[in-house]
Amino acid sequence: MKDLILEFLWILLAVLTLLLIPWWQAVLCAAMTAPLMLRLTVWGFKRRLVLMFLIFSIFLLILHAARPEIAKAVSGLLKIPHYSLLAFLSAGTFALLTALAGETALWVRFSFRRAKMNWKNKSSI
Amino acid sequence: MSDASEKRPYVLKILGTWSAFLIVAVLLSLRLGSVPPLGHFLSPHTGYLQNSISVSQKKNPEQMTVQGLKGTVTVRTDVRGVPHVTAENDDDLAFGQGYATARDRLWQMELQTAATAGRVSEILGERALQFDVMQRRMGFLAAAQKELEFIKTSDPDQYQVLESYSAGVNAFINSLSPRSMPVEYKLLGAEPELWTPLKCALFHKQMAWTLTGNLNDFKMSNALQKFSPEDVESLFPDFYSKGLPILEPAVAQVTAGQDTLIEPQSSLFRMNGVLRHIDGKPKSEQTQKKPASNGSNNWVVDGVHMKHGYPVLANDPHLDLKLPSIWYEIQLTSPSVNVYGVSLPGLPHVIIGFNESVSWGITNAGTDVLDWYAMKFDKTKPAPQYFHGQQWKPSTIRKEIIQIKGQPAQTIDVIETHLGPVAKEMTLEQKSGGEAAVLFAMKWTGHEPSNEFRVFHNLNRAHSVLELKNALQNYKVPGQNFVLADKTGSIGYVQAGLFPARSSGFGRYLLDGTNPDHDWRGYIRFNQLPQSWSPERGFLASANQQPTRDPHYGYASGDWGFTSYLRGSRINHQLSELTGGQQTTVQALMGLQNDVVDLRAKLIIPLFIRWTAPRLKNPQDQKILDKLAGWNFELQPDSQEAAVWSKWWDNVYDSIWEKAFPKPDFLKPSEDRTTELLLSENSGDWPAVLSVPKKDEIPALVAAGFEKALHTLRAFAKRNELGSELPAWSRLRGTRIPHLANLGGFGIEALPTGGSDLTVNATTDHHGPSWRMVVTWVDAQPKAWGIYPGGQSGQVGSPHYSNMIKKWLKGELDELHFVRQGNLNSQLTLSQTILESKK
Repeated sequence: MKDLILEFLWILLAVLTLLLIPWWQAVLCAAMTAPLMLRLTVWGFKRRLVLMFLIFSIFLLILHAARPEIAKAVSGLLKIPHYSLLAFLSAGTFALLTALAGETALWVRFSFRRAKMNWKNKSSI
Repeated sequence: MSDASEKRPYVLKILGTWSAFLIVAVLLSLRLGSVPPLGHFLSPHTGYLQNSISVSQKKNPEQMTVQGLKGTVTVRTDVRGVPHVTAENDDDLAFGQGYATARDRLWQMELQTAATAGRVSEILGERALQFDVMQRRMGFLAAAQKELEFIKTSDPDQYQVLESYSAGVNAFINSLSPRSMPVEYKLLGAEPELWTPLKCALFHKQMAWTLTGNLNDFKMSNALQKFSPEDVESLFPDFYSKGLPILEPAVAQVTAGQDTLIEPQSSLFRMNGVLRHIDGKPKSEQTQKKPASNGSNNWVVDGVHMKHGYPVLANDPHLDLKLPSIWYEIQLTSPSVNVYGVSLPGLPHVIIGFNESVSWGITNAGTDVLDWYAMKFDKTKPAPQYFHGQQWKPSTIRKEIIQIKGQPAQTIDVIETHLGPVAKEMTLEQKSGGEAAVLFAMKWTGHEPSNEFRVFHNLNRAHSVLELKNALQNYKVPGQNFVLADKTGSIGYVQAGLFPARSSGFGRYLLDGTNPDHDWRGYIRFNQLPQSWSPERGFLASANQQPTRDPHYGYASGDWGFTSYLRGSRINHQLSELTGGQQTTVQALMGLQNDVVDLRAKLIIPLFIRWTAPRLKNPQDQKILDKLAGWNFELQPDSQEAAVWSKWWDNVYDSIWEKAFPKPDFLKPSEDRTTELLLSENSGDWPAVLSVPKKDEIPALVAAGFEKALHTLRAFAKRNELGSELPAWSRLRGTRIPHLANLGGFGIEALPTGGSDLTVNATTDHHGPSWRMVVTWVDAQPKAWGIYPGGQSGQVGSPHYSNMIKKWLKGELDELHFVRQGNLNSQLTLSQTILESKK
């Protein structure tokens, strides 16, 4: 349960930072907080990505619906038939990037731990 | 071994995840071709979502401290998005105008001036290089620099106004962050450049070229190679027998003095070989394209002929329709002025508008003010010399450096002669052997320095028609027909501008650059220009037709910059009907702006039916002929008759002329001349020239044109599943208003419009009434209405981006909120910005 709550909190944090700071800073923030809040084995990358895409989509759909003029114009520019698809495109892009950032950070932590364990085992021999 | 196989899965996962992350992150950071860096663009924090502009009413004014102000400037924006700028002095007023305009139209201002200066390569890279080279050769940048120097030395006060306007634009630019940048900058990865007075001058040159530039001399010279001078003169006459000029002899009060006219020995200069436009590649029109039907309507009726007793002035300039619109509504108030109207983003002052005492409207003069000269050059010398007046004369070389995005800059040489720049690398198809080369120089009034800023400054502050007239004495380019009115009841008309004094037909063809007799010798003086003041008939009107029939106005012929006389005839006819023996109303004059009667259809359709009916192959088509016979000649959006007529006329016109005058090297004889020839009872009038069908072949050709039109229209209706045999006019033609940079999704497609360039409501597929205005006075207070196809904001994310189009389409006008002393009613106020000087 605790892991589940932390997963949700991490995704909400990612959404919030994406809204408030430049995208690359938001991604950096997600990567830095991932090892503190997530575990590599509990959820798995695919399920986290799907959940993140859904939550990002909801936020971005609301934002696009609140700004119809610009959303319609940019959809027209990108030849996307409706601006909700544009929201899904943005959500998918940032969900993928953020999930990858979190996963990368988790694998880094895993590598360090494994290296540390190997080093301890070797030392004990 | 077992250790290695255990490690492999997680090492692969680490590498896979890291690589995927890096690839996605890098892809989102890079610009890929025309695709902007998507991370920045899609980001809700910095991307396009930040370009949504709220128009909800704000209770508290926004305060800003800025540099460059002497006092306080207030910008109140009304519910239509129109800024009402109030300042304590004229310099601050210009600052406020610059600030308000940039806030709504910065991207438009930057793109338009970059295009004129030949600097688009700095934004778009090498793909715009050829365009920039042409712009530099045309000398717009050099002419703008010359103009600015002229203003700086001759009118320091007006130069200061340009400085203040620029400071206002820059105050807005400096307030921008990457988040609040207009979305076009985000798409292009560009940043706004600081504004300078030079950019104001550049935009003025841009307007001059849009309204006066053309390459018709080349096409006419081609005609002269192919046909005899008599045939060319007959097919391209200066005057039409039924054409009604702006000033009928009874109305014209001033006659041009013959002393100023040039009488060259011969202007029928023949080149050997057929000329091609540009570098032998006729299809690649590399200069800015000028719409064929730039034109406008204006009219003014005096108070005696109005039921409410005050004059009414109406104006609708027809230009290329774009989003953002070329016009920007504004009210400017200071102790010396209180004026309302439309401005051009990038220029200070109001261009078309009114104040408490006067009103003025403009249409393009269309008079030929650009001549092309074939210059004989000796290019063997380091500084090329040209032959003129039996001697070789030195040219000057101007170095132009063109910066290109992502590539090293390129330097080009522009050759200058005493006439003007060698503007185009045009060549003859037949090589002009030997060491001498023929290059083409342009002589254009737009290259002359002038100070239209002062003219509009004075127009904005005039109190009477007489003061308006005095202000126009210094107006030079682009030549315009001004109609004027004041609240005392006076009305007036003058064709103001710089027009070379010359005889009829001079400058129609390429001129001989070696012959000093072909040089311009001066300009028409203001008091000799066509003008009329409060005529007895009670109204004055212009619609880009010739100003007068008086042969002394030789300059009023030439390049067929004049549009068909039929639109003007319709306006004059309707005004005569409305005011003849009775008084008329403001509503009736507003309605005239929406008139869609096609006079050519009225003249030609009975004749066409007479020729076609006996030749019909399919008897079922008779019912369509019957419908046309009973048609009211109105090009209404839902009219099928309008669609049939339009296609039919196009087919007939093309099949008469296309073989003899193929595109793009020739001009076709005008549609007015074609109408005259078709209607002529005298078969001897029909041109007996090569490749033009004979007069007795025309009835069959007309019948064939009808069948072809029906075939095309039926195929169109079927293809588009319209559910009717024939399409309505608006479905066939319609109107699109594209974005200035042609960004898909930022423009408006397929508006169901009526009319054509021949009707008073001169709407075509991407061109038409760019601003409709009607002004009068009630109880000595100005009252005005206006609309344009667009919106005040140039930001696509604003509800004011295209909000006026619906009303414009219906032919309705908004009441304009002219306020006294800048006191805008709080219910009409959307927001308020107070600009204060930084101490």
